[in-house]
Amino acid sequence: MRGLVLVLAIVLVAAGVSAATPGAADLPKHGGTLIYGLSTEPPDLDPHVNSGASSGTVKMAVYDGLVKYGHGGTIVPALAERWGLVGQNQYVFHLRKGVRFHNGDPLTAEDVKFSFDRILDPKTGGQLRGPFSVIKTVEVIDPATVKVVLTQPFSPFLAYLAMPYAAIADKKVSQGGANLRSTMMGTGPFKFVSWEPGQRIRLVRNEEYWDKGRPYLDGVNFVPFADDQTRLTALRAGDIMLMDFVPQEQMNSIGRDKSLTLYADVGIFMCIIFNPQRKPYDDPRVRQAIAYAIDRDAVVKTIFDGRGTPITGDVVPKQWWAYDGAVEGKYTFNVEKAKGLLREAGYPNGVRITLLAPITYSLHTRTAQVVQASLAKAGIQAQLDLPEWAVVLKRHNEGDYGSEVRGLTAAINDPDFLSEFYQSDRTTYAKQVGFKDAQLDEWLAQARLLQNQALRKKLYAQITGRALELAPWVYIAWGDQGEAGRAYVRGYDHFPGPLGRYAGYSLAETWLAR
Amino acid sequence: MDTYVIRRLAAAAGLTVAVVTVVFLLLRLVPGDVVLVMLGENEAPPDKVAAMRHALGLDRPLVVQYASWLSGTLRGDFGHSFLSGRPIGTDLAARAPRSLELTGAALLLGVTVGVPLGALAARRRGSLLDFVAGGVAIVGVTFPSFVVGSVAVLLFGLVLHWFPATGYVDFRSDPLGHLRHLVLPAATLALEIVAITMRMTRSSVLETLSQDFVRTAWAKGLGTAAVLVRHILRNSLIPVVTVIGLQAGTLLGRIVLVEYIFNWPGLSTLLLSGIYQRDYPVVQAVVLIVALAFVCINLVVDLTYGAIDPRIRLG
Repeated sequence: MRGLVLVLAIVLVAAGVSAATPGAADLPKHGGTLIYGLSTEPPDLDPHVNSGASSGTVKMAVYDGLVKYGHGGTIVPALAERWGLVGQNQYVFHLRKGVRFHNGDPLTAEDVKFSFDRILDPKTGGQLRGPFSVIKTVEVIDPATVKVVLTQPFSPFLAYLAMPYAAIADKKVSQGGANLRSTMMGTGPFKFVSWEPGQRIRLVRNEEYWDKGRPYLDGVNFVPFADDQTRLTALRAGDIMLMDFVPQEQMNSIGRDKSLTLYADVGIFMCIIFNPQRKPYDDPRVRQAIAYAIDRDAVVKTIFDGRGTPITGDVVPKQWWAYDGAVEGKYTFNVEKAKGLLREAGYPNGVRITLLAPITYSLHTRTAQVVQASLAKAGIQAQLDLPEWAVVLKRHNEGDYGSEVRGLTAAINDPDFLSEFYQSDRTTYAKQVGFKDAQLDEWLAQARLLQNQALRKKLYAQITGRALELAPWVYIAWGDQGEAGRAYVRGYDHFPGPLGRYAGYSLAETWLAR
Repeated sequence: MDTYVIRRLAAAAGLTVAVVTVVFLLLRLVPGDVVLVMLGENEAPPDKVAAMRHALGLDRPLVVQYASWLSGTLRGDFGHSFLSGRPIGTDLAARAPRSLELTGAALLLGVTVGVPLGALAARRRGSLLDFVAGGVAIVGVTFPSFVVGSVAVLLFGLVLHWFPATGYVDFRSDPLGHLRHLVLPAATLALEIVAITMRMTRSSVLETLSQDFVRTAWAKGLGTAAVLVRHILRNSLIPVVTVIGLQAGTLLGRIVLVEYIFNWPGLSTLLLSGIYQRDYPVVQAVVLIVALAFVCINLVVDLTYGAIDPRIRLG
């Protein structure tokens, strides 16, 4: 009898334990080193320069900005504990108390001023120099308070500050002669240890991190890979635990694999950029004809393996407050309409165009091929021109192209990113491309002065309507983009829409359930 | 030192200089500009480009750039990477030994398996062993390294889990792990060497077997092992040594793909990313190292050849 009781007790206890286990496994656990496979070795570690998404991930783990993107892509406090808007155009940031850089230097307002000045210095090649040119002065009020005065109201300012390129670097270290391209000194969740060429970039836990209890990992090793397929093999074999940029054609098979987790969401959109200085691309009707002659469903099916959405309107994502359904369906595959527009423009026998795309990225090359086949049905003979990325950059910069296939993501979580494409003085794209429309310039400038969201939304609807009519860019399709990891990797978060590439922020909350 | 050795040394030095000069010039003829790569997708107005080119010294006449690069290199200073700003010497010092180790391991593995296998196959001509060895040789010669490597990754890494599929760990921090990572890439590279040295040894041994001195050795009553090693192998290995030398040269070409497949952090990825990004000093430095290695191997082969067979020195 006593034996039976004992057995029963053991069964009950065991059942209790096993029932409790799943719950316990969901609580973040400290320890372990994450091995993260990167699609390219970062060319540099400069926090203010955009040298690609892979290096961005490393930089986000070491540096903090005043604010950052949190779960769901909302803007949350980071080094600035709180902030306020004085009048329409003066931001006052109150820094978090007791934050130290990894070498023990205290964080002060001087470091913020130094970092913003560095971004504004043309020699830095800072990613945010364009949007930051709205800054009139950065004033140090006291060691814990900094005031940023803008030349005019600028509603997307915080969205830019949340980007990793607005990181705060240690003034003393930088001015002491350290080369920020090859070493790092931030306040972030992980400390830089070493960069072993080709092998790994090693980071360890910052024990003094201001966000108490985080990070959960003892460290992160970033291992660069030269080949996508090799990286995926390494993940499947368990050599790495997390990887960025899953090849689109592999997403479905990863999704089915129980030992892996896929973190993906629409993130990249494929589009065509024109050189409006050249014939026949100088005529909006030709650009519209091309927009009608693209079979977008075919692109989604063949390029994104079904994991995408055709863009028949503009590129403001559906989840955003600024999304306006009115322009949806503007450009759907219509061969007759395309032919008609070409006739109107004086090309009754069709046109010949060239389509530039970097052979370095198969997504771009394959999209160009599908587009080429689709355009041919409307009498548009596209000749593919597929050099390497370095050559595409050069040709683009010199205006030596007709039309070009690109895959892009929105830079910020705010429709102001449209100004990159349509505002004639914006140095990423619009100015380079040579597109200019006075009406769009005016509206885009107005939209960022407004603080009222409803008014902004109305104005952006006007902007996208006119932009689609002029068609300086032709949008093709949204595609999924994302990361994959072993199933025991937890707490990692792929942010929605265009913010996907800022998922590096979630490494502070990532942990290993094993 | 006789004239033969001096002539060979001079030719080797001349070849190295020619290779690096051609690469220096070719790099500058290839379209694409490192400054634009550095600026990314931002606008690159002419004044900004000019300023960056000046900072990198790219606006100086080609002859001056070449001379300053050469004089720096001769002093052991490879300069800095345009993109990362790091001294190239550091990267080379970290990566070249890894490539060298992989090449050496492959060569060692290839020879220690290939030569005995070839000798045994010749001794037991027509046996099952001979047949199997012949099959291995055909696979080794006909299948390119990237196919062999991919199959090896799939079979031994993903399915059987005998070895890590990709990667590298430092020998000092984990010696056993380091060797485990070395096995698959080294074996992949070695397969072709096994095949070629095996075939060469086999035919050479077969030829030697019919020689009079071998018959004499048997007649003296020597044991099989003694005849095989002391008389047959010793006289068969001269052409095999030459082939091994030539193989070492072609290894330098094949290693690029194998390092790629196994994510072995040697010189290959440095070279490829250097080319993609037009990081001239990096490419020049890697090409110089590879050219030097190639020239050295050929020099050693030439000199040993001359030492073995004096007739060659007269030619």
